[in-house]
Amino acid sequence: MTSLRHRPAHEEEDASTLRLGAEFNNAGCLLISEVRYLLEHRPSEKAAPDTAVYNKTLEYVKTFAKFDKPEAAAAIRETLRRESALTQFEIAQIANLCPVTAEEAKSIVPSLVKIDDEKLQPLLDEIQTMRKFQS
Amino acid sequence: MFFIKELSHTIHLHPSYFGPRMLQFLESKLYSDVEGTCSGEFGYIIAVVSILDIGKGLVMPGNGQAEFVTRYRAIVFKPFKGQVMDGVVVNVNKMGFFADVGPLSVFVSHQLIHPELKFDPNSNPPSFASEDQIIEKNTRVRLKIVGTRVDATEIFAIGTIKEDHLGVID
Repeated sequence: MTSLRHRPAHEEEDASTLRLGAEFNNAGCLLISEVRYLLEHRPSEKAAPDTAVYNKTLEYVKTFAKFDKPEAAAAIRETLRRESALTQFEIAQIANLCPVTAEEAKSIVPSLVKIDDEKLQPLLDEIQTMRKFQS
Repeated sequence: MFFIKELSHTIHLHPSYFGPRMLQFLESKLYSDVEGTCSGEFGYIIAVVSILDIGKGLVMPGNGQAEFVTRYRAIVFKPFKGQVMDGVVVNVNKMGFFADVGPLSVFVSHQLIHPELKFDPNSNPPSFASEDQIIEKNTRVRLKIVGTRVDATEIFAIGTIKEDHLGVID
């Protein structure tokens, strides 16, 4: 019985409250655009793995990458890093989903409620502008 | 969500491989062992980005095999409950539809689809349609994960599109 009692409580994962589990709470999140860049620019000595998981992911990131160039993704990160309250996970979610209004952003990433609309909206506007003018 | 993560993998190497090409063999063995696998703890391991340490290669007493504890950095994909993501519809039936989010397959039940979108059994391909929206094969949707179930080799997820800002995206 003692072993049962001393077992650490299992933390339930829930992205809306930013609980990602012990392994991922501090892990580096990647934007879809960055994954695309990494998969398309692999070291040449190694052939691409021919697995269903790899091929489906490649197709997915090609469909949903919002920014074509790695510089654009880096610029987005730079912009969002100015708001120090944002976590890695939130930065990646905003950059992957590109919400237009602060209200939409808070609806699809619930943990953003901690940030005022007046602070969030300019960031979202800036991302929309960057998306529009990447060539 | 995609992550870049440091992971480790243990390789047991038979003595017949000890020799000049051992390192190449270890590398390709690592790639073929881990890429494309899925576990509940780490999600899908999509691709190894770099090998940090191939390990010392300790010969195990008894059988002569060497044990290499390799450390590598990989792109992993793991879905979380409550996360919103974009996906592509692959299959529609009267129970709901399946959407692919990268390697993950997400099922959206008809109860979690807005009642205005009705299943149309006569359409080809089958679809959920309202007056101004249609969900059929290859439609892009924004969905929210409401639950995941972890298998030894796969993750299954249930999603919803019955909330604000979710549904068909153009």
